[in-house]
Amino acid sequence: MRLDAATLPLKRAQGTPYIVLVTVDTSALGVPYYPTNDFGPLMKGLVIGGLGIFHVFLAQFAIGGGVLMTYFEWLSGKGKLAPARRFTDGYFKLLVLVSFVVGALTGVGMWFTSIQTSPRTIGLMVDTFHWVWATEWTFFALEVVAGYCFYRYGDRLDGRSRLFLLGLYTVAAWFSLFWINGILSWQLTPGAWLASGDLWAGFFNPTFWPSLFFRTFAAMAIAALVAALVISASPSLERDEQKELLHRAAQLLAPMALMPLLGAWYLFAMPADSRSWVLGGSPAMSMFFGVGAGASLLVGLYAIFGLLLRRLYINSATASLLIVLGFAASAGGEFVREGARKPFTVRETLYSNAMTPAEIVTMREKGSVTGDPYPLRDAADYPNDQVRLGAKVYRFQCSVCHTVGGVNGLVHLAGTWTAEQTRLNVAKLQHTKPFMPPFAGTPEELEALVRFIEWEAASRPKDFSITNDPAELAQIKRWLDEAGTAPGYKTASEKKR
Amino acid sequence: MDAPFPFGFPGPTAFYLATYVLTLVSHVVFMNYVLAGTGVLLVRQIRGKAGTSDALADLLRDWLPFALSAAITAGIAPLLFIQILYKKAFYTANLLLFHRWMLILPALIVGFYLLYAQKTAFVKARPRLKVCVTTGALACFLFTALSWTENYLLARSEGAWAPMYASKSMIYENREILPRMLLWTLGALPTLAVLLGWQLHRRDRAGAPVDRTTFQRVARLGLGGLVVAGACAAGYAMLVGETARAHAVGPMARPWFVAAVVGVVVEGAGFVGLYRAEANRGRWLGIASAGLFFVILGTTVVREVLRITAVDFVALYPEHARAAQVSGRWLFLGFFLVNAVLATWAIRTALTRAERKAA
Repeated sequence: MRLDAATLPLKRAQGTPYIVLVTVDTSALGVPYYPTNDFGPLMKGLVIGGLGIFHVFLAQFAIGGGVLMTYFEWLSGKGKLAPARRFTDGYFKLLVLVSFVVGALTGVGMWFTSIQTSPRTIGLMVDTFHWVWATEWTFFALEVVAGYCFYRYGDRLDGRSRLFLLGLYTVAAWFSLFWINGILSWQLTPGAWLASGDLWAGFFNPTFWPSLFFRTFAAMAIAALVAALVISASPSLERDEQKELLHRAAQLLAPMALMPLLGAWYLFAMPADSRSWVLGGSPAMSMFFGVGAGASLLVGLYAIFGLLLRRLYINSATASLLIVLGFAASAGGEFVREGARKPFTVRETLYSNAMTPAEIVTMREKGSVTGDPYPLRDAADYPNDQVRLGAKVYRFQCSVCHTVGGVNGLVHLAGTWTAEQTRLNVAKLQHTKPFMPPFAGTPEELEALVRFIEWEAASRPKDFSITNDPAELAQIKRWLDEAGTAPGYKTASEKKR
Repeated sequence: MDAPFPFGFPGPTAFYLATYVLTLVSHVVFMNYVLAGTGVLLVRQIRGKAGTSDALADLLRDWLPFALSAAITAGIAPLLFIQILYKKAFYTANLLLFHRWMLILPALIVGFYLLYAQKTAFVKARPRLKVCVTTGALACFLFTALSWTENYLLARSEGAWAPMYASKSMIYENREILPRMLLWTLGALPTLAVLLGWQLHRRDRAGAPVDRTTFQRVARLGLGGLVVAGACAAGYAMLVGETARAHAVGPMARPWFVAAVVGVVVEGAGFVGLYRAEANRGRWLGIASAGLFFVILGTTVVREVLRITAVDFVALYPEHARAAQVSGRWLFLGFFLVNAVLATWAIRTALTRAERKAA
């Protein structure tokens, strides 16, 4: 089913053509329904977020590691760093064992966890950027080939060949980042792609360059911190050799001085509403932003004043602590990057619960779970059909970011609200919280969701009444109409104007 | 769908199918080396005598970690194109078997490290530990193979999706799973034999003589693999039912089925030649390699035809057409060629410069 511009009021209101999404029509709505897994008290975002942060850290270590070793090999060739070769061979083994194995596999794992979280999002990303992804794959393959050649034969090669292999490895690894960075930054700021559908307009989007430079410097910093640990823990190196190596490795931390500027550039390239979540609008996002910035600041200060200016020695414990801080900085940054996209997974195209703006309009009329072919698991546990319907609505619309009673649980968020309050807040969801998508369903579905939350908040009693007051449903309908289907931040910005 | 694969499909569909199959073939080659290689290594470790050298085991121990890395790297491209070809079915099967994908990741990481552990002096010096380590690695790879087999079969059985979801079952029950997995696992042996043969041949030519018995052992491994895999294929064909059998030799798959059968004969002739050869082993390995290429390509296409005919493939054409409108294929092709040249240059640099210095 092809969704045309006429069915997409959000984009039509902006006077721009809309990027069409073609879906396999498995229901009357044309929405591809997928089986939804329940992770219990853990929200799905935590699963992909946890793996994502781990993967990003390792991938950046692989890139920065290449830069570091190429630099060391060059210094060695110039006769400026005698123990560089010995260190490089040991460091590369660590890189292969950690980054090539766990890094490569978590990279593949990212696809699988992304499917678990939002198959439609990853599907749209693959549809739009599959040739970019395929190009990235050729660079990754080159990185692996060059890396393994160095790993197996490096100790039997002359300096020029070693430098060639390391340089090739580094360039390939960095270009791998280059391509992936374009896809990831497109999710937050698709830029002119929204209007034209042009691949390159989406790839070289407003946050592409600040994000690329930021990640490049982060990669160099991570590699330098790991190098500090390897150097300080290496028994084969004399103290003077360690100090010299540490000083040289710390030079890769120097570009961190530019990170505040790059961070500011990135923030100002973001949409205004996304920036507002980070800068105080959302406590969780502001906190993670603070963690990321604070950890980076600590590492940067230690690097510049301690390692570069005063040439301090660094022991294994301190190096480990700095790596932990580096990880915290990466985690904070990635959390902010993921969170700032709300209420979308792809800005103005796909909401965080994987619905298009046009589909919300249709679902308001026809219902969101009417065509869902997947039955409820444990359907008999629910007291009546209304709560069962509410459970299906929760599963389809809410469960990607919320749990029932665990992390970001609906019972914690809405369990103390009155029924009227819940109806109003859900009906005008995008105005209640502008980083939430609009509710996508009929008044009956909304009422069912309210009853589901109340039933869960009441500890799942066996007997639970059904509500079907026509006046209440009419009120919900009025609220839904008042709320409209445009995202909440649009209304906020209109008010400001 | 009466034309041979991939003709008879709309242009975009045919293009993505061909790209998928070709990239999958490269993944299968390395995957076969890992799967069969770990099994053969285990058998040789169990049967081997302490203190005796074993050229095949040494070679496998040395190259298996790289082969696994290559298999994973080569596996990324088909993983990308399958999402364009069968998006909904592929994602649904992944979601229904989600615990499996969460387990495959640590299983492969553990398997990877166990292969590296094989190379350490600590493990080498302890025969029982060596067997345990290889058994662990093989278990990890077989688990991965089992999961993929389940995924493939579940993805093409839309009628099973909702009942499986409702039942909360973690296992997709299908009588084809184990026979199919057995077929693919045993079918990996001839690939391993060809690749091992080339490795030994290269070693022999580089001045580290390899005795004739070792080559004969490789040839026997290849021939034996062809025989048992052929028997498994016949058994599997009996199991899948008349419709699937008809599609496997139907107009779309027939040329590829014939290519695979011819490939088996050519590969077998190559192995026989290798077994008898006193010299010129490269020629027989070349013949076996040509046969292997047709076997892998032919069976991969037949496998795909069985999937195409099991799902409502026509309904997916619009998605393929839309994906084909996205630009970037020339970018890919350009960098594919450039990076292939650079990768070859890197390998050549490593091999020629390192050897020259060693000599």
